[in-house]
Amino acid sequence: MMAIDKALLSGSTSMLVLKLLEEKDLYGYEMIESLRTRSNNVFELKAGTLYPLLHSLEDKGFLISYEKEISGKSRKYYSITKSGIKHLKQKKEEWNAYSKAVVGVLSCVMEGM
Amino acid sequence: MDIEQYLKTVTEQIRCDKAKDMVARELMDHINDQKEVYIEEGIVEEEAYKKAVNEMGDPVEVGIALDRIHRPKMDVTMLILVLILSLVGTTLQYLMITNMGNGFYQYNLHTQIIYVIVGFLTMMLFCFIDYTSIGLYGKLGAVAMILLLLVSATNGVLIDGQKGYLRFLGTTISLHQLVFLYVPLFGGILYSYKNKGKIGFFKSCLWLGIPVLLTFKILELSLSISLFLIMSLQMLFVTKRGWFSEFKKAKALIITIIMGLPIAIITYLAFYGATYQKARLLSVINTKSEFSYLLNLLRKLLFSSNLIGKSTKGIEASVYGLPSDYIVTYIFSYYGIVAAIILLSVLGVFIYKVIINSTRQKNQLGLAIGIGCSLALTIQIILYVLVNLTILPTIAVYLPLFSYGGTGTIVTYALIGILMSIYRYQNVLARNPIIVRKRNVSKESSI
Repeated sequence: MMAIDKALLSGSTSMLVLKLLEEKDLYGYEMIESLRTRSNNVFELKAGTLYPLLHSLEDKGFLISYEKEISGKSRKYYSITKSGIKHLKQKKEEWNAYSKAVVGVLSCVMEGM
Repeated sequence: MDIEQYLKTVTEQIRCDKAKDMVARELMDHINDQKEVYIEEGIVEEEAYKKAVNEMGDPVEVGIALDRIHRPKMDVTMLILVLILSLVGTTLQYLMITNMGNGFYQYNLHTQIIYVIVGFLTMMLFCFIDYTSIGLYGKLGAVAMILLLLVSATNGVLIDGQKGYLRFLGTTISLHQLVFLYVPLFGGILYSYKNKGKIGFFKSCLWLGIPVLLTFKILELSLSISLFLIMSLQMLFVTKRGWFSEFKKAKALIITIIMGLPIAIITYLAFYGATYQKARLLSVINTKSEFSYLLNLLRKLLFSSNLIGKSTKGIEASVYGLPSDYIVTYIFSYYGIVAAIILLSVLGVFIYKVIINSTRQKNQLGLAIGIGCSLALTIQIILYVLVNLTILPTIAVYLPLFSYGGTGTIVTYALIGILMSIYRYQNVLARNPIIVRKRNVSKESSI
């Protein structure tokens, strides 16, 4: 497993969470599991980071939460809103521009070497 | 660290007591999920718990991050908007009093300023009080209001020959205005019937019908129509959100009743209405009747208004006296069309703000109460403007934050205060708070 710098991850976590929720409604634990398997264990999101993030996204109106009972257990599910989808699109564009720029700079340096 | 200790440390960081339960439950669920996965992997229960708690990260850090979000917050935009509207409203009262003279506009500015200050304090008080108490005491408050209406029918005082006023400690309370406080109480009642299907639906209808019928019998027809519109739209809104989803016909039924209202009113007036009521209704189209005097005057003022500034024809007409509750018409005539459009736009912004705030509310009790308060303010504003523009017959109307009056001013600020309280506690209360008669009123419930 490759260790990833925390600072690199923190800015994009909200984007990743919104992306997961764009596909279907999930509860907190599922999100961490899903992120871990999809990223081949690169993204080890701590619950302590996830819940404050989810609550602040809900406060901003990007998510709504609701309770649903699954096999006798009541779960707090999160669902993306219209403005959340819009925000995700914007974040994705920013990310693409950023990563393209990073790749561009890196490849220039490589060629220069 | 064990689970209790972890949760205790997290919640200790959160200053707002009301938010603690909601946060603790979600984190506990998460730890339990993680623990079960570890047990499946073959770790013994005690170890699994410890490991799951350790996975959560630093409880102090999490608690501080959550505290930053779950804090009561002030609706600053609303506060500024209300301050501006109060200032404009009071200034207009001052201008009307000085311009129109005591002969036609017999009001006292000082009294109105006192009403506004008392109203403003009431608003701040309601803002800081936890509004879930409306869920707790909704029915009690509703019964009290119904009793007040009944008392006013027999023991009230008459003002201008009209019923619906009570003398209390030397002040006169107008039930014509006070009755709007029934709307947030009705929101609390609706919440108590959430997910109760057909029975819940019809019981809600009963709580809606009684005050509408009483205002019609004791006070006046137009007021009971406003009240009916406000509460049936409030009920339609929560029905659309699936509150009575077991009763499939609920939505269609409310829409039919609302659509049927104009027919019901016209039929009633045709068979049982007093002559003046019929004439007043027809005066919008029949400008020749004697009941059209006021309407014709208003139209003369409106059509003679300039783009900017005072209209000379308007002043001529106002020699006959402009009744107190035609602020919009007054602005058209005294300050011109541009000024009137600015006022209407500001009112539009206010309506937009209250409706958006309350429809975006995730707390379900707050949703039912908030949408009611917003509708109460909105419907009053719309009816007022329509009457001022002579699109509706000249019925008694009230412009929140602008019209003169003690009870009306205070009730308006109280409704806004409730809206601000709902906004204030939106990140603090659970989505579906259980309303119980205990010190700790809000606990997360399952749907």
